[in-house]
Amino acid sequence: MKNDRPIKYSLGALIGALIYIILFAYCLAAHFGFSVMGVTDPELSRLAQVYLLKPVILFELRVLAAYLAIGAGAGLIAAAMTRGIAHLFPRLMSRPLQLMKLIGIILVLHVLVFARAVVLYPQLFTEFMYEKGGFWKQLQIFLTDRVGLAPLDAALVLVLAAGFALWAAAVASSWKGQGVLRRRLGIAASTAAAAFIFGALLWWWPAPITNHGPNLIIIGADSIRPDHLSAYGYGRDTSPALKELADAGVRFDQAYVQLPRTFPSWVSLLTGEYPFSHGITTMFPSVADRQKEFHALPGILRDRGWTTTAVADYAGDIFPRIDLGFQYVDAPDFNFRTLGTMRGLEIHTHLLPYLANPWGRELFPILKEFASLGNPAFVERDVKKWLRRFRGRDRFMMAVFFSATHFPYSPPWPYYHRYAEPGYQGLSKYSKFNRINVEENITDDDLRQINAVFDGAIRATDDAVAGIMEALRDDGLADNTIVVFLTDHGENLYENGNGMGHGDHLRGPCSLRIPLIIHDPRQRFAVKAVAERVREIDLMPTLLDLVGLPAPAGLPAVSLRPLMEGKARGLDLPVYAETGLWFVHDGPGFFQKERIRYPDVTGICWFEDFYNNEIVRREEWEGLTELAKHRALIEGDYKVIYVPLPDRVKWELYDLSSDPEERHDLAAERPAELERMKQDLFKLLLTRPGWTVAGGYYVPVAEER
Amino acid sequence: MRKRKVKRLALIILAAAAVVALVDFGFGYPMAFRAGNWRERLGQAPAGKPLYLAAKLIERTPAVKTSPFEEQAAAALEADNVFNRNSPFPPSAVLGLKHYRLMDRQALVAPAPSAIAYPLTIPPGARLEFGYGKPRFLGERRQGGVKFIVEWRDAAGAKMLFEDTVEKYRPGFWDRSKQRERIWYRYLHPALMRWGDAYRDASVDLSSLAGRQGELWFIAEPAEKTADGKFTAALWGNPEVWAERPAAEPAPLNVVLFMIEATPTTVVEPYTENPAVTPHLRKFAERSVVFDKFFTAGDSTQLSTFCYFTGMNYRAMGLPNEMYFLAPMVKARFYRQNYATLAEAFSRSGYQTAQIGSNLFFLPQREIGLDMGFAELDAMNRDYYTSEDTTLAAMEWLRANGSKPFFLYIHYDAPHDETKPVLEDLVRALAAHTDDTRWRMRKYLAQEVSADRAFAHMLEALDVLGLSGRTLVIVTADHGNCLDPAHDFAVLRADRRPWWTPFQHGRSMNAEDTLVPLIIGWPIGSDVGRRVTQPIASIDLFPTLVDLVLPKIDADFKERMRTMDGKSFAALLDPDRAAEAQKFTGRGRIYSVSAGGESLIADGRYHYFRRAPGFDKLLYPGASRLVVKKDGVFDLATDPRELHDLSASRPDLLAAMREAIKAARPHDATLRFIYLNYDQGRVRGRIKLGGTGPLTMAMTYPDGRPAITLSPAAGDTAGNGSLYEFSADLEGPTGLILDRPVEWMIIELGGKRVTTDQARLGPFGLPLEQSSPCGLSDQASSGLILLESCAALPESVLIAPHHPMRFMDEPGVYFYQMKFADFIEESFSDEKLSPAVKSVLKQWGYIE
Repeated sequence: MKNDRPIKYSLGALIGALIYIILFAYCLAAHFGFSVMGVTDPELSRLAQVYLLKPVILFELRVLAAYLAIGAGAGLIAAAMTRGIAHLFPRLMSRPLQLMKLIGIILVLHVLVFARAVVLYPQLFTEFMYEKGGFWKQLQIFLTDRVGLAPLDAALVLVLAAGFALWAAAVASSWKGQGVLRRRLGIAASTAAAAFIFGALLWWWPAPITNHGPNLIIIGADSIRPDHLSAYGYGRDTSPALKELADAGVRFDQAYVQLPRTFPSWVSLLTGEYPFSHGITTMFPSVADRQKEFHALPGILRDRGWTTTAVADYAGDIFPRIDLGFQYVDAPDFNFRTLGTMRGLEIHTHLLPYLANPWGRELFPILKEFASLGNPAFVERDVKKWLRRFRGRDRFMMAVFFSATHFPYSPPWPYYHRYAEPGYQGLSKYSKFNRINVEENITDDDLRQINAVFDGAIRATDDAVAGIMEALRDDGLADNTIVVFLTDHGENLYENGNGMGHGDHLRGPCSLRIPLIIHDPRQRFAVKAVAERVREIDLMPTLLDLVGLPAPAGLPAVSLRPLMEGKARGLDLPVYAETGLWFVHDGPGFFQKERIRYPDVTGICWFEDFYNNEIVRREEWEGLTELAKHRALIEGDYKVIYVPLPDRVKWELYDLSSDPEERHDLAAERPAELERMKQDLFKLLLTRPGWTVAGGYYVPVAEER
Repeated sequence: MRKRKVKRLALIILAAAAVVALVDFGFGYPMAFRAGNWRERLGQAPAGKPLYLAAKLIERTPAVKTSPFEEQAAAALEADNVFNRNSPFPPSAVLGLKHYRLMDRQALVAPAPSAIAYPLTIPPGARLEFGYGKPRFLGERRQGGVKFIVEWRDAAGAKMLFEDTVEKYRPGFWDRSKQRERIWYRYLHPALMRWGDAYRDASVDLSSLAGRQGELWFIAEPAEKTADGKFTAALWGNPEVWAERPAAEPAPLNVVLFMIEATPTTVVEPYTENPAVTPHLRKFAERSVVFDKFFTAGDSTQLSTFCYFTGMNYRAMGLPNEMYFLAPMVKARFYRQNYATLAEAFSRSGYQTAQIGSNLFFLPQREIGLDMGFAELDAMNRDYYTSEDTTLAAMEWLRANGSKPFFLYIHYDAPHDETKPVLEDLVRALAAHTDDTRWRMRKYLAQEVSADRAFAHMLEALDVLGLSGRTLVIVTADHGNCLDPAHDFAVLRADRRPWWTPFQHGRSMNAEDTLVPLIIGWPIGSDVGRRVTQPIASIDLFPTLVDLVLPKIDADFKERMRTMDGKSFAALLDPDRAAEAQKFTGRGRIYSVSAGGESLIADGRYHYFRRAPGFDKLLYPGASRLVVKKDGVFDLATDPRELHDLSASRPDLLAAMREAIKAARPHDATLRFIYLNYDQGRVRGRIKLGGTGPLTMAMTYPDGRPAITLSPAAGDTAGNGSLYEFSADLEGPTGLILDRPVEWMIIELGGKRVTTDQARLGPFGLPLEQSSPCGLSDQASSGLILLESCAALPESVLIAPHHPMRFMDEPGVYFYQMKFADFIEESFSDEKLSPAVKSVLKQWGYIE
């Protein structure tokens, strides 16, 4: 018959593209809507519609282009396979049959890739599968619990290999007698291949090591509690690599943060200052607050010849927002436009399977900002890339930040089910279910599962740390690189009625205490585990001390080196801490009742549409949000917490020696101790200019115009 | 073949480019095609004999007045925004015609048919001057023609003096479309611009009636028959009788005040070596007094000219300087204070007063404008005009009014904008010797060249009209401009677009924004120039002019001038007062404010600025970092370009200047807010206020109904009006705003005393003190007592810099304070804010 010819490649590409356009339209229509981290807010949606329409439309065009490219690619592969089949079985040459085969192959490939992504990163799909319930939920459970990754990988490889074989056979037989053309093509192909190999060799050939050190790597991870690390004696084997690091270096058993939120915490860590003095007191500081002249560790080291870099995924989106002296920042940006465009990709569940890999992240850097794609291996890969580059630098300082351990704790395959209960089908199957403004009824099963995904995320992070340590050894940098491991804050996991999360209150040790390990390969310290209380701010002078530089004058922080050397046993450093911004104005936690109210984050913040769309706290709310913070001081055996309420100031006092979990408030019982601790806290707070204590409250003073 | 095609294409593109260039050139530089000779337009009109104002009829009670439709006509005019009779406003704001020429004259509303008669005795050599017309843009029913008749009636009978019919308005082809009209008058035939055809001027010779006693009748009749109950709105404009001045009495001195927009001393010739930009000014300066350190009290037209014409500091007038659009309440507050204005000083002394040139801030019917007492205003409210246009309009005015004493304020606005300059001036600006090669700078300089030439033409016109010998000419600028590239930055304001400084003003507070020229042609006819180096402020010009020109001004007015911030520097001008001048040491420190809320202190050498909160984040070009800069100090003697901030190196100087600005800042009233946060219930209370001052005000509900009314208490034994009672049925949270301190207060809600645990203080509504030291106490006998001074608390803890932003407040009584300027800035400039407080102040009668 006239039409019985092998199908053309162009037709294959066209049909592939058409199918993917349908998928694009389906995703757009079925999943349209604005939400941030699973939370939908009408005001945010309105703002997004008003301000982000144009950028999101432009972004969707990019997304469509990606769909088209993938569709065309899939179509080409399918066409090649169809042609191969048609060549081998000429009887099946009829046009409709060929088209059906073509479409069928495209769909099979897509289903395989999709299923594989669902198993690898189930969190990317939960909103549109698991949480929907019914068929989609069962399908996801089936794929992740029954099928697993290996069969899908095998099927995909099999299909592709069969296709390639069919195509190769067809090509080989159809090229008979076209010698000249074949020879020319062959020469061109081999030249191109040679050029490619040469280029790749140039690219991959390791640079000669001219690094002299001392280098400094601060490896941070979000929200890890020391008591969930096997390095600190946890039951599950969550941190073999960190244990190894701690064995080689010094472990701090009581390290505290000053503000358990990522942005203020990192700035305190790198500047050695309290949040109220460096000015970054929330996740959304104003442009002016962020653009001050900071005397931070990276800046000091950069000015003395270190190459400074920050590498992070989504929780590290703070680094591009502030200049602390990093020369290179390899982290996603965070602003209102990012939120909008991120959502514009999140809904494309049929494109994400092709993008959830390092190359996809290069193509769509916004993927780095995805909380549901917090694979520590990606960061590890980025770090290795930078390390290769730093072999040729005299010395470097690098801050690495892993986000997978931040809630919703979404580790990839196989970590999410490594510690999980097999039969669990609750809300937190793949990650902690995020519904911060809805009252939660957490069952014991849920709690176990949340701990399991949290621990899974920790293990994934630990494996990435192991990879980094190995890379250091491979690159010959291990002997002159100081490695610090710590987290930006701890995490409450519903202990003692303290709720979930960090930064909302200061009760209990869980959100304030962090793991801290310092390993300096150039020296051995007398102490393996420091039992004294230390603070996050002390790290900056300590690290400067280790590399032989003086700390800036006037800091409240001290070097921990004497403690590591065993020369300052029994040192009692006063530990100060404050809360961050409350993101929602209501909720089940006790801290939502014991506070001065203000609207939720959409009312408090605004984005500066003329300045990079950055989300900032509104100036008119600065006074009240700062005033409403809880503040705490730990000194000696006691911890005092200042809780301003609308009608009075509530004080809590805990005796840490007898009550480390902080269950018994002693404020009424020990007035003398309370008074002393109060005075000490106020004395510290009054060092902040423009603030005073009036009527028992710590309040800002109106500025003269 | 192909080559030919390419050639043809290239030719087409070239031709198109040429057409575009020509059109742009023609449209962009319209003066290139404008022809006209100012001398021809001025004509040979002699100035005539000097006159004096014998009678201002509009201020007299008429003997007869029949105007059956006056109320309806006034209402209709008001509805069309043609006519504003808001009674608290000074009278010259009564009429505002909206088209090309704005003549804010006093007017009589006299819808046809109507008749108004004034009794009068005619002095020798008298003439009657008046305007007449009918509003042009009203609805069809008022569009009929009107016959305007002026008659003299006395015992001897009636005599027709004047008759004219204003026909029904029939728009021409061009006038029927705004677009066409614009093209026609702007590009094609600017000379045909119809000046005030809706409102004609007339003059009637009354010399034949000298010495007779009788009545002047102003009669308006419908030109055609109208249906019963229909009328045609018509207006008589400010009828005045002028009479010849006896030869023995010397004519008073006229004053022409030239104000060139946005002109710092750095570009004007007597101050700089900048040949060819302002040669005429230099020539004028050679025979005048030149002031080297003349600072304006504000750095934008609105701020600065209000200060010039009231002699007051801006904030002292109760105006918040961040507020561009003046809320009705703010305007009302301004008028209530009844400040003396310079134009008023002249018009009280029998002068004609006129503003010619675009200063839109003197148009009271605009949201941005205040009435400064000018009898006539031609704000040049056109799409395009040059300094020459302004001069031509001024000459026309002068030709008509030169025989009467006048105070003429000419405002050259062209340097303000980046409008395209006149081509000839652009060429001259390009040839000017200056290192600054920026195109924008050359365009700006071209406007200066233009203003300079227009100024010269105006001087010549004064000569032609024979007025130079008795006219005091003053040249100054309303403010400077940011021209130095070293001062380029943007102010990053919250939620708004960044404010960039280059070629702008009101954003930075450098000397170039406030140090402006002042050249006074004194003594008149002198050919010896002098320089004065003492620092002078623009607010000093008002008392100085009164001192020099109007020494005999009435005592009432002098009394009103006592509150003025300005001080006369007349002694520096008058050689006869040399001894006095020796004592004049300048103003010491000059206070100035900017539209961004910043303030400035200049003492002739040091220059200290302070940025307002919210205006202190600066972004420099090319830099990605913000700089937060709250204040700075410069030494103009060693660093005239202000490149080196001394605040770090001279902390002593900085501290002294900080104190100086505190002392110089006008007092800003503190308002006390008592906010009752209860949903409903009957509220009753008593309040004892300290101090004296205007009454208290109460908040109203969003629909404007007063929520609480205060009335003097019956048991006010002291009798000093400080004890008040109030009661109301609450329908929602509301409260009281007081501008006097509270001594104590008792509130009952639903019959129960409100106790101290329901009282909250300060911007955050905290119970800042539970025991008594703060002045809050539970007393069995008196209930809640709120004392004004909380000795235990710093005062600033109670002051809210913004309207308190609270959320889900507890029920209770909230007590906080706010600076008046902050309160009105926040309440009235933002429509979204506080619907309740927008109708506050009713009790003060601020709004109708």
